[in-house]
This record gives sequence, structure tokens and C-alpha cells, in this order.
Amino acid sequence: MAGKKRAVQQKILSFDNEDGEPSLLTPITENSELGKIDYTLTVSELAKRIREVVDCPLLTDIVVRGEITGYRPNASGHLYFSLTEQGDNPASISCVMWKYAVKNLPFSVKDGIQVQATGLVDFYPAGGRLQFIIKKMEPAVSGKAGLYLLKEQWRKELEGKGIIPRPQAEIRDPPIFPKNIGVVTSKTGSVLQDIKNVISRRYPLPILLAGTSVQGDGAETSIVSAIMSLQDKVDVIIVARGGGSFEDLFVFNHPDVVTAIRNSKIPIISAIGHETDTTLSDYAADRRVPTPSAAAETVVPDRAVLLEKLEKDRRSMHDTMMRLIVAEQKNVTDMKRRVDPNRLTRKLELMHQQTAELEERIRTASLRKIDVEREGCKTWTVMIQKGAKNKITNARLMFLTQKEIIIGRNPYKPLELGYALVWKDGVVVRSVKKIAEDDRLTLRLSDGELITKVESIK
Amino acid sequence: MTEKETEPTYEEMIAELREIAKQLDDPNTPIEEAVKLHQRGMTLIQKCEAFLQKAELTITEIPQQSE
Repeated sequence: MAGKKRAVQQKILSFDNEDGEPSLLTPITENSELGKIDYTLTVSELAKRIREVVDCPLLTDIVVRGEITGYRPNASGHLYFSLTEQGDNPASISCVMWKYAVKNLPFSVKDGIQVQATGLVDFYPAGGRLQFIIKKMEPAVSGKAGLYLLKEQWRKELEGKGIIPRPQAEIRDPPIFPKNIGVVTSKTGSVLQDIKNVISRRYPLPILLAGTSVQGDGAETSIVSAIMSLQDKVDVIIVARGGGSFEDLFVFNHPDVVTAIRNSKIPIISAIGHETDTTLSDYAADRRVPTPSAAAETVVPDRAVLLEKLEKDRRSMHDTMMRLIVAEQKNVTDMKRRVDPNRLTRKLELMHQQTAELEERIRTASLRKIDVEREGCKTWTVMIQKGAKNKITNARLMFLTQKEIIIGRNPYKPLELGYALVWKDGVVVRSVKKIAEDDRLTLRLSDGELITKVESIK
Repeated sequence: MTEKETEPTYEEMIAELREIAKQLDDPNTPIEEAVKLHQRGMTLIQKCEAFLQKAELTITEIPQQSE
């Protein structure tokens, strides 16, 4: 420690004397095999000198602000990009962030992000370039405020890609009776214990634990791979983390985590932090609950409630069955009564009675009909009799009239006027020529006859 | 063997129970049918209870690539 300090002091001295005597460079050439007369350097010697020059306080433990450009993901886990300043004084420097440092990075590197990077400048001999070795990096506005800005930036990006919020139509209901449950959380800590307690109390089920770090750098990769490892293995996934500060929960805003949750084939319940904390992951999940315990309650039904309901079902089914049987018994009794022989006799009697009644009705009706006919006949008789009487009366009247007429035409009537009728031998004599002397004539007067003898004819 | 494969899930059993209850309540269901339904209902309830009783909590860790 003390030695290092001394070396630094030496370097400061050397650097301060740069423009004075050639104290820094001279000893090197002096000690070289080439001696005083040959100042030619090998490239590696030059590189070595450059490294020594840049190893000074002005270029060590410095904080540089700039925009990330030219970032290309690298399989090694180290980050290579440039820090750039645009505008009036354009400038750029190559940067490296070694894997061990990346682990502590609170956000994912992307072109265009303004950052503050802490590190030192070094010369990379093999590549022949100066580069800034970054040990720590955070969004340009440092601390919590920077993270808030970053979160907003990610939110906009994710919203732009349509990853959040999860559309209503794509929100899946977790199965009511899952066969097993996947849990993405820290292997240690109370969250897993809380979930275990609730599930064992309500409805014990197999839990598949995909252990992951839930905080700090690289946690996003761990969470993503935990989510991936549960696909096709479980019916529902809980992504959970206990309460913590905004920074503690920050990884759940990471676009990789949010995207993995959104793309999960299995419904995901997010239970991150406390009720008041909202991470971008919450917008990608199928359901968001305030605590890990609540998540456990959401994914499994309560066994006690289910058993109680089954008992209720059993009772209700029994009751229904009893009711049916009682009703059926009543039906049978009813049927029995209906096929009883006494009942048949009664029925026959009833039929007899009905027949008799019918007979009576027919008879009465017939009689009434006959009466009506008889009455009709009587009327006719009266009418006929009346007609006949009239006819006789008429005939009599006619006769009387005729009689009168006949009486009026009495041949003896004129005799009353003094005439006489003369018969000879029963024949009326209308001329004297039919009479001879001495004939016997009968003379009829109005009131009698006389017999006479003819004396002369004139 | 086949029977085991076609063993209904809890959800299916509950769905069937619901259907049985509905049919039992239907006045048009013949009594012979009702007796059969009742028997089936009781069997299903027993099975459901057994299913719930024997549920067990186990924790299996899924190995992670990153660890």
C-alpha cells in the first residue's frame, strides 16, 4: 500500500518535470542496450513508454461524461464501445468495461445513452490505441435520479415496441387448479418461504424453483434465464422479490426482463416489492399482485374451502335424491290405488249409472218428441174437421139457394094467377089440335085437379 | 392402463359434478337415471376429496445456466 503510494508520488514528480530536464525518458534509453548513440525504439518500447506516460493521476480515477456510441454486444461478456461528445468540440474515445465491472452495471448499455463513467486511461499495445477502462458507469444524471430517467427511457422504448403494457386481450388467467407452480426468486430469503407457507396451507402443490439473483448487475440475465428454464414445465409462474428500495428493484425495469415476462408462454404473476412499488415488469405480466404471499394465494385455491364445498355438494345431492325417491314412492302408491279392483267395480258402477242416465235421457227425449208430434196431429185434425164442416155448411147453403131457385121455378106457380094445365093421358096438351071431342082431359088449377069431358072444339 | 390415462382432472370432475347436480334437479330425468347419476356423483366427490387430501408440497430446483 505504502509502496504504491510512493510510486504514484514518483510519477507525479516525473510528470511535473516533463518540460524540464529529461529525467523521465533519459534513464530508459540510457539503460537500453543500444546505448547513448542509438535513440531508436522498438514499437513495444514505445508502447511501454506511452503506458507509463498515461499512468498518471490526470488520467487515473477520472470521471468522464459522454454518449455511448458504437456498442456491439460481445460474447465474452466484456463491453466495447466509445464515449463520444458531439457538438462544437467533437471527440471520441474507445472504452472497455471488463466483465467483472459489468456485473455491477445498473442498466444495460445501449447506443445513445448519456453516461458518467469512472475509470482510467490506458494504452493497449497490441491494438495500438488509447482506451478508457471503465470500472463504474451510471446514467449521466447520477444516482437515483439517473435511474428514474433510465426507467422512463426504457418505458418509452418498451411501449414503442408494444411490449408494455400487455394488451387486455392477451392477459391470461392462471389455471384454477394448477398441477405445479414455477417460482422465479432468490433461493435464499423470506420470499420463497412466504410462498411455500401460503401454498402448503392452502393447497400443497409441487413448486419448481428457478433460483436467481434479484438485485444488482447481471441479475437481469439471471432472471431471464430463470423464466426461460420454467417454460413448458409449469402451469403458472410467480416472479417475486421482497420489498426494497427503488434501486434494489431496478433490475425488474430492465428491458430484457420485461420482454422475457411478456413473451412467456406460461401465465406470469408478478409480485415485486411492495404494493407501492411498480416496475416495468408489472406491466408485462398477466397479473400483478402486491406481495409474494398474495401471489401464492392467487395461484392456488384454498383446499379447506374446496373440501367444504364438496361436502355441501354431497349433502345437496343426497337431499335431491331423497326428494326424488319420496316423490317416486308417492307415485307408486298412487298407481297402486289406481289399479285397485274395488276401484274398477266402482268404475263399472259409475259406468252403469251413466248408461242408465243416458237411457233415461233418450227415453224422455223420445217421449217428448212423440208428444210434440201428437200435438201436431191434433192441430191437423182440428183443422181438417173445421175444413170439412165449412164445406158442408157451404154445400148446405148452396142447396138452400138452389132450393129457393127451384122453388121459385115452380111450374104450378103461374096457376095461382088463374091459369090451368091440361093433360091428356098424362101428357101436357099445348094445342087443341091434339084433342078430339069426347076426350077426357085433366085440368090442373093452383089448388087441385079436375077431370073433364070435351064437348066441342072450336 | 387406459383407465389411468383417461383419469379426469380435478377441473373435469368438478365440471361433471356440476352437470350431475343440474340433471338431478331436472324433473324430466328418469328415476333410474337419477340413481345412476347420484352414484356417479358420490364417487366423483370421493375422488375430488382424495385428490385434495393427497396434494403435497415439494420443491424442485431447476438448474440455471448462469449459475
